[in-house]
Amino acid sequence: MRSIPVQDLSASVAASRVQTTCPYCGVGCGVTLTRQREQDIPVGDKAHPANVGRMCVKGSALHETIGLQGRLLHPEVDGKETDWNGALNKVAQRLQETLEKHGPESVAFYVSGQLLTEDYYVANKLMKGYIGSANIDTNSRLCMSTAVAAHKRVFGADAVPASYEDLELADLVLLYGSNLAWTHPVVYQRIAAAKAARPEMKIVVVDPRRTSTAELADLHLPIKPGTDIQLVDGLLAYLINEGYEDRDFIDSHTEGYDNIRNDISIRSGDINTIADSCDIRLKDLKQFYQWFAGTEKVVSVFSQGINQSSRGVDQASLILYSHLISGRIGQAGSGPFSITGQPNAMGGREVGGLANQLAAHMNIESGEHRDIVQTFWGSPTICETPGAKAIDMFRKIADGTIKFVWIMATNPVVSLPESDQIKLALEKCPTVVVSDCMADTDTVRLANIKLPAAGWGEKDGTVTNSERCISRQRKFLDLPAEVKPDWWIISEVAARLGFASDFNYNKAADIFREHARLSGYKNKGDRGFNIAGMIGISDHDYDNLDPVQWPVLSRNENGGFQSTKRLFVDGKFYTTTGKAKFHTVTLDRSPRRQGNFLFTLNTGRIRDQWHTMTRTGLSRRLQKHYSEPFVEMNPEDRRLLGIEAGELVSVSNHQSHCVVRVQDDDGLRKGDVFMPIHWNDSFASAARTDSLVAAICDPVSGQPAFKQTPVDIKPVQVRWQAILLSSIRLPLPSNDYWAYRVLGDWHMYIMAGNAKLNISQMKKQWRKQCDQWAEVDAGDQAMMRLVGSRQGRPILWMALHEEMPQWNEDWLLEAMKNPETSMRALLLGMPLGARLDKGSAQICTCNQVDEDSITKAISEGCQTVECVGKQTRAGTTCGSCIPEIRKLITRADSREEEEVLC
Amino acid sequence: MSSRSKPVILIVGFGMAAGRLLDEMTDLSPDVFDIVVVGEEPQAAYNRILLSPLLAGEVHADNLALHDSDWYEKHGIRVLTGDPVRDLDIDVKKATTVSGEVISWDYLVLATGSRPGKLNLPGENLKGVQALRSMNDAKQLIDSLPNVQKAVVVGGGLLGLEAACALQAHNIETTVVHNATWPMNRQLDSEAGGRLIKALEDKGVAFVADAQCERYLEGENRTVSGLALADGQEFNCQLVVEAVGVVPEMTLAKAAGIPCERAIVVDDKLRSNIDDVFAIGECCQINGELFGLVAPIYQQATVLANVLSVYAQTKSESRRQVLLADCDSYVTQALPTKLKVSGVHVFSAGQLDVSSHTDMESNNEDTSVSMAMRDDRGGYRRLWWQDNRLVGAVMFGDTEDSQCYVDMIALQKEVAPYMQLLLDPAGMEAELAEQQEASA
Repeated sequence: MRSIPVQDLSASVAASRVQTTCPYCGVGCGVTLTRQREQDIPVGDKAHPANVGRMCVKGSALHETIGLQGRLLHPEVDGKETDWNGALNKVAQRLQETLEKHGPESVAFYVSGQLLTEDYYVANKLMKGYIGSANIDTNSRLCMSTAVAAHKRVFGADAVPASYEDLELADLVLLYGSNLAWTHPVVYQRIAAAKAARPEMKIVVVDPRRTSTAELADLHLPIKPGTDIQLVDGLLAYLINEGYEDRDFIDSHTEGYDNIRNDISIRSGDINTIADSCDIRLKDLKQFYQWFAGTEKVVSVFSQGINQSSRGVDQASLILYSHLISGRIGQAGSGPFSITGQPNAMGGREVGGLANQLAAHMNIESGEHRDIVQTFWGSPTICETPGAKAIDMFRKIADGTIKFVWIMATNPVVSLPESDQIKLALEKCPTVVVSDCMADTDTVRLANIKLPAAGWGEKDGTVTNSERCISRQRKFLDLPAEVKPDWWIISEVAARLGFASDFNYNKAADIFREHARLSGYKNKGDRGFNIAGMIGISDHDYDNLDPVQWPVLSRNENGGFQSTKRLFVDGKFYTTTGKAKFHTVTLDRSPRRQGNFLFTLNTGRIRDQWHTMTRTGLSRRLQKHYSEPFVEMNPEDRRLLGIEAGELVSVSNHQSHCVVRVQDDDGLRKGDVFMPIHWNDSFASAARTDSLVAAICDPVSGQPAFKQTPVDIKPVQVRWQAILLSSIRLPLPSNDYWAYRVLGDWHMYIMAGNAKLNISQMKKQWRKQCDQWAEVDAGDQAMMRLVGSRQGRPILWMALHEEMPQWNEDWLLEAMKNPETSMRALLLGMPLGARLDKGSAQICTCNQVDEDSITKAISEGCQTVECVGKQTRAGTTCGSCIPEIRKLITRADSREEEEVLC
Repeated sequence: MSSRSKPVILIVGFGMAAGRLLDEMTDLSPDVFDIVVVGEEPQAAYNRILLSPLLAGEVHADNLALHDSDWYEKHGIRVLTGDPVRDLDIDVKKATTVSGEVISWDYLVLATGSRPGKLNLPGENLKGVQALRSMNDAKQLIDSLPNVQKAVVVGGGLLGLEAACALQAHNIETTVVHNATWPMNRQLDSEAGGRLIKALEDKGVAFVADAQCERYLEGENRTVSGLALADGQEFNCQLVVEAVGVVPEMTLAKAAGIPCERAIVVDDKLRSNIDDVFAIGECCQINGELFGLVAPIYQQATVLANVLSVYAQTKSESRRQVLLADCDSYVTQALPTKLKVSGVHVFSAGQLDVSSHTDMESNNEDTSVSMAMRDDRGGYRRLWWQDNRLVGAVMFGDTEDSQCYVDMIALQKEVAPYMQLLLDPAGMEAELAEQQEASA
């Protein structure tokens, strides 16, 4: 763990405290780092409007992930370390050569919602104004582009109208396709707290899975995957047919409504048909529609379940329509609320980070906008047509149209659909430049030129969260080795292309000032994003910037910047007419299915991991919630396949196949399975979930449909399974399965295979590293244990059995530090004399409480989350696990009921 | 019952079996018998197991006696030492000692023990070639030590190794010659044997494997000066201790017509097929089994004390049958072996399939399983299972919890998982007990 160098703190921040913003999800929580026992402990910033002091488990573990382990620290060209000048010259030279030979369409940037707004601004400016192509797209394409397209189409701008506060003020909160409890835990906690204070507040969860979020719901609608569009269309029809339209609002503030009204009222007017299509109970559906119709203050949260769909823009539009026709928008406690996945997806869009945007909410298609931007920049050129969106971009790389790609702060070999094809495309691409903070990711591995970029805590800039709130990420760590901020790297390349004077930035604040000026430049109020009020912001004010929601047009009476809590308060939208627009939505375009597959694969995040685990994978605590890649399925389906929970299975289709462990989740519909998106080739043998997903995109937004992939599931026969701990990373024998974890100073591998393992060969190799050796062997493959030590300390531990070896992780890690521990106990992996403890999944990551302990507390009489907290400390710190605790209590209750009935 | 009419028990032989039997009888049925015990050695029963420590100087001779003379007196036991029985007349139930004393008995217990085995090599009678079987042997050895620089121990069994280490403790350069590849080859597998050789060498005791002894070399005054092996190797020495097993002592029994095979044949109630004649200890044979370790002999003493008390209660044969049916019989037990050499911990119990090795190819239909733990600093232990039951155990170095293995081998209960039993037998035993309690 690094310590904060005191001299590195900006003068305005007290030596022991830094206020910054969390780098994970789109909630954008304020984090205060406090110095405790030589460590910088992240705690929720009470002054930040997003979290008001709250913190989730990932954020709470930030200090465990900022070490230098695994970092990319020096530039590399073609596998050789070099200095910055050499690397930047090489990037510029290859870019220039490609441009000269093949033109602007042959180069592309693929960037990320993890970049800061200032980094993003510079990347976009270089591509669109100086290279002259719009081939810059971002991983926001994978999460937000559908919502963006819907908002632009309906509201005339990529503008989320509501604030988190509205979730607390609402009387009905709808959650469409969002496992908020795990993906946006702090927003979930705010809703949960509001509901606890006002139990009459209703919560409806629409999700094929009964997730942790559904534990809070008054009504859970476990719809058939892909039927959201029918459900919401039915809602509109209900509002129309039952007389709940707000005619005044519709007439004054919208246009095009009458073109679609009759169609909807007829096609979705039969509630029985809707219930059938969605495969839910009529009673529940009616309840949902009635609650919506009868409640004034409604917020509709929607997220990836809506966005990651082949007709996402249509279904997102319908959600927006439901608020327009009922007039529930622009008021406290009302409005649609698209929740962002990434920390700076919105900031990236503000500067035009998508291939179909220009900059500062201006459009490529508009000649006027192109003029504005080119004039403002004084750039030699400006892109004239939209560039390639993510999927098309990689297709163009694959077919050779794009010959130079620069990937920044993202891992597309893991995160894009058909990711095996992405890997092949990058392998073939003549120049792949990757800027990243990590040295070895599935994507970095394919780079010709590697550029070491600054990570969280090392860089300065701003991010914008889901509620349009711009807040500062602040630097509190020295830049290690040769690491540089992304804006610097891009500007240096721009300078080498001959644009030095237009990229002459000395600090992030310089870029922010330019960005603010552009947002206000010739903005007649038709562009939603406008922070003209911050033009000319001083370095001091930038350093001390309080979180502020755009648009920011002026200063407030206290001298701070005037925040905008809610949009469309006056019913005025960003379209040319100022009116919200209704478009025709067709229902018949159902998702294409290939072949005959038994299961529908849903994908998503888990509570304690972030994206491709490059950072959260460094924390031992965060890997205890789930330690291996897995597929969850309904236990009845699993039994039908004759598979036991915990066994290895292959999940496969035409695209690819993965090998993961099967787990039960009775919250899944029969026929549906779920896999997390996080594992990848750095962490497992075959668990890139997105390699299974076909690149089927929404035709408008280009966002891929990640949620409904047909797959087959088959057991994987293995004759042995093993756990290996090593103090150094080891070359692994090629097994049918392996998964990797960081365990403090240890590298941990879980392995399994059907073929005989050449144990004696392995031992011979490993023994060379050790001066002491202890082992158990049973003469065949059935069982083996070994401990190899060097200078009195174990450096290697392995257990191999026919089934997953049993051990006590916590005990062993401590015991290996103690030279007095009996060698027999070390070999056994648990203390002598202890009963076999199979261990259970960690539920509370903050306080390290496992499921067994919680179940025990419940069986001893705890019936509330609070009681469990008192008994076990579970759920008493960040609260991210409270939904799971609640689930365990509910499960115990229903078991008791069953027993009584029997 | 008046003292006149007490039945007389004559115990012939006064070693550890007789000593233990006296303990059991005085506990179980005091004042029931008139007991006479007759021994060849000049002293009453003593702890023969401690002869090696005596030689090593770790214990004093005075501390070996099982009881002092007051104890025998207090219990009315008549003790004759140094005057062995030379003749038994089983028809008239009379024994005659070497000095000519005639003793009548109602019940006769033969506890004549065994004699050290001999190799019958040329030169075996030379001075300086001897066994370590009796107190006398030990004293003689100790007296000779000042003139000994080098010694050879013939036989790498338990006794031989203990004797060798005892000699080495006197800074005598000692070599063990053994007719197998590793020492204690009946109790240890090759790996434990190999580690034992290493441990002996670390103590300064040399080990010569697969040795065929040919003859002893003669020095001055008919003293031994060395040992020659069949392969031509010669070992100079001033002392040879032969530790090549024992031969049951059954001369008297044979002469008296009591049926004998490899030893005196008795049933599992220690009865010979002659009425009122019993045998116990190293001189007896039960179901073909012979005895050399103390634990089964102690069990025999318990059985026999009970049987004798039944005999005293009634003379009716049918009544005796009924009562005997309630007495425990001798049951063969796993024989744990522990080497008593300071700093070298070796344990063995049960049956070892010493031919099988832990290699990759031993994957046949056999239901036997073997698992080993080895630590190149700490030690080695290996277990053998048959049909999920523990049948054998060897430990080297760390012999903690060895009693668990003795118990589990004896109980023949199903004991999986293998791994935990190997590494944590005490934990596993506790767990099994808990399970049993839960199911009860």
